[in-house]
Amino acid sequence: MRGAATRFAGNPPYWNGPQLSGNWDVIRYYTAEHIRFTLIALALGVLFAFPIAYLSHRRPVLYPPILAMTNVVYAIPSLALFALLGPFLGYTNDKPIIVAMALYTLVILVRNIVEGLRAVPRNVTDAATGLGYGRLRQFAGVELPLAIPTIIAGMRLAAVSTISLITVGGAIGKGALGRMFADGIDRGIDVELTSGVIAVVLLALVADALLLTAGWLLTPWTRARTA
Amino acid sequence: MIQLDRVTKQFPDGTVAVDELSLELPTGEVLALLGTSGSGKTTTLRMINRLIEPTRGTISIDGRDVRSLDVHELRRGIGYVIQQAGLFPHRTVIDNVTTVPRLLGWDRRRSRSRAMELLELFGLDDSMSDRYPAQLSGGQQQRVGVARALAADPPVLLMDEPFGAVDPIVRAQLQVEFARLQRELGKTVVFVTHDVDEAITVGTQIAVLRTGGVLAQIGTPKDVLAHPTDLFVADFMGADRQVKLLGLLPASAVNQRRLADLPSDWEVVLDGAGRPTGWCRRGAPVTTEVITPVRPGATARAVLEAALASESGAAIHVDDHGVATGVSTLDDLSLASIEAAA
Amino acid sequence: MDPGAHRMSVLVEGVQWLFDSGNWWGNRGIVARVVEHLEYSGAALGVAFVIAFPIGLIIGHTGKGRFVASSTANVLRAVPTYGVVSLLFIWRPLTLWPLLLALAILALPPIMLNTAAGIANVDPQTRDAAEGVGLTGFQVLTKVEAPCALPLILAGMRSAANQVIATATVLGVKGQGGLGVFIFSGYGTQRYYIVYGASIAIIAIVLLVEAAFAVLQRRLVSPGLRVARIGKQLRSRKSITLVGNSAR
Repeated sequence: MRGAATRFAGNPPYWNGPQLSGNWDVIRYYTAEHIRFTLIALALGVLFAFPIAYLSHRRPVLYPPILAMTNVVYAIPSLALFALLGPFLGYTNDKPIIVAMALYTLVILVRNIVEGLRAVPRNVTDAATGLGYGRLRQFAGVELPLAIPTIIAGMRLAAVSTISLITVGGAIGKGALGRMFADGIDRGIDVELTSGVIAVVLLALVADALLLTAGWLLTPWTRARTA
Repeated sequence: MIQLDRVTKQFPDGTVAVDELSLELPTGEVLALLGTSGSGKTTTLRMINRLIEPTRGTISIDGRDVRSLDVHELRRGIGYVIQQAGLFPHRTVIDNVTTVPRLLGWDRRRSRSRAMELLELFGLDDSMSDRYPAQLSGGQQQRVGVARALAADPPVLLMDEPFGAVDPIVRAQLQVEFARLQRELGKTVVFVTHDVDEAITVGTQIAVLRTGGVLAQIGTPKDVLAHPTDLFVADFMGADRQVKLLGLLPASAVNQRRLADLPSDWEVVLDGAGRPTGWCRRGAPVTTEVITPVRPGATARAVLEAALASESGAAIHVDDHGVATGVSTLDDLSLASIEAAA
Repeated sequence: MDPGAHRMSVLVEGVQWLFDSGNWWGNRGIVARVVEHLEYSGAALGVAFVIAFPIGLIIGHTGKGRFVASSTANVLRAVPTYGVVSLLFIWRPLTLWPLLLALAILALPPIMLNTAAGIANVDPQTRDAAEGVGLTGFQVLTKVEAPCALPLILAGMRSAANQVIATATVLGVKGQGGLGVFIFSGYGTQRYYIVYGASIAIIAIVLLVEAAFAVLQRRLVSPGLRVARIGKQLRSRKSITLVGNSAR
């Protein structure tokens, strides 16, 4: 009971009994928190990914070292990353988790954006240059739209893995729906743990579907071909 | 001999790609399957090595129904060349060429020496053999593609727009090279193309297909050019089909008049040895100009070009010594005159 | 104390802990944990490969079931490994082996999808030529499609290995095994230098494995495909392949 009390410091709702009924507020509360973490992390990741990708694309010399760095970041287990960020952001708030997720997102996105840009056919970019597009306008108006399918694929991957990874924070008393895992295992409540896992999977699938739809709406030209 | 007997291919979606197609190709001939896209020419080709199975009808090679043979054995016995060569990117040139011999169980040494022989025949030197396809030019890739098809010396060769992916100059080279090799090799070849000139250059027979895989006409290039069966074939062969036909005929097929029989007031000016040096109007002063005489062995098309280039509208024929032997006018180049002369 | 100095000192202590031979030996020492970590990761990868590789080959070769495969992959990616490990712990706390399943789930999508995409991306002309010269379906797969797909297949395995090794950390959640044991216990006892030391060990293992895959790529992939890739970048690619990653 003592452990549970510290875990639920503040006023989050508390799972009562071994059953599901009466505990929906717990699921709702942590789902909302999970969505909030995810959105902030994705937004941060996207914000930094585009300039870095643009730079890697314009200056191809920079891409290999950037790629190597992203590989190292990706090799860090999430728990270790939380710890590594601890001295800078504190051990007891949500920041390390969100920043860690933003970093993973960044890593996935940079790679996908650059690969997407590289896959834009050379004749298209040549034509754009020939038509007199400026560099930035060509990037925003021609290259980026054509890279959307790859970028969306990266976003889907980033969103799904972020949603799934946030739960690891449960191990350190954080991590939104992950706290239901930790509490479930601590107090031996199968139902709480199972509900948490299902909620995470559903959330990930919904996010995936939303992004898939967004990609579909953003790239009408890819549909014209099959029609 | 390749025979197609009322072959029909209907795809599951209902499209009829080839409709009741019958044709016969004697051994050693090159059949150019000519048509626009949607005319079923590639489908026809692919039915011969059973990459596509016909819905109805039979295809036989030397009297044997292709369906009576094991499909892989059948294909190993037929050379197959496609656009962009379809070389295996992970294998070197030599390993690409030895593919079929190895499948047929030839030993390594025999396969390799056969492959080297072929590469030499196609003007690819030794240093090429260990390169990978990506390191070759388009024309070189196509040569390797043809070499691979010929490696096991198959009697039949199927070629699907084999020179379609290279630039016009290289394409022309490859066509001439292929025509020359074919005269030595004497394979029975089915060659798919949408290019009339290519069909004329490589084909000893041309089959023109219309949309839906219906045979519009089959015959020698000369036949098809001279006597298209209908407006479709005439259109397809082009408004310049007469010019193309002249390209296939020897200059000797064109009526030659004696120098004195020119139906105009122009006269050929000769030097002391009887060689033409220019034209002049009868009774007027000699105007020497540059002229292009038609030499022995030239095509009838050279006669046309000489006539068009000359002020008088007539071409001068010369013998091996450059001595003028006669003249031909544009009238002599009409189809009717040529056929009358033949 | 100056917070900057504190940060550095914790990191330094972590490195010291890692290199202190006193912490290496014994059945709870670093070496034993590294061996465990590799064993479990390797076993999980092996299980995933045996399942995902043939499925990927079939999907790529036949072109059927791609939608089902990618949907399944998405569901698998969404499964939180930490949650599955916790569940399995509640249900079967006695042995570690069921936990391999949780890790194998992670490795399935990249291996399956990359294999399928690699095979499907083989130039249709190449495949047509292979059939046309008389290779049997099996020969087309083993002699042409698989070698051409090898770069992507290896990339998928590399990505899977990377994720599995990093994620195997969660096997330490209740002290079961692997280097994660140090990380969880370090957190529990607020001895963060142990967390750092163990993390550095995991990162080093991941990077070594990545390097091993790079060597493998060089050894196994035909040089012809490496040259081809340069030309290919100029053309657009037909389907976009992700060297996918997911949860750890």
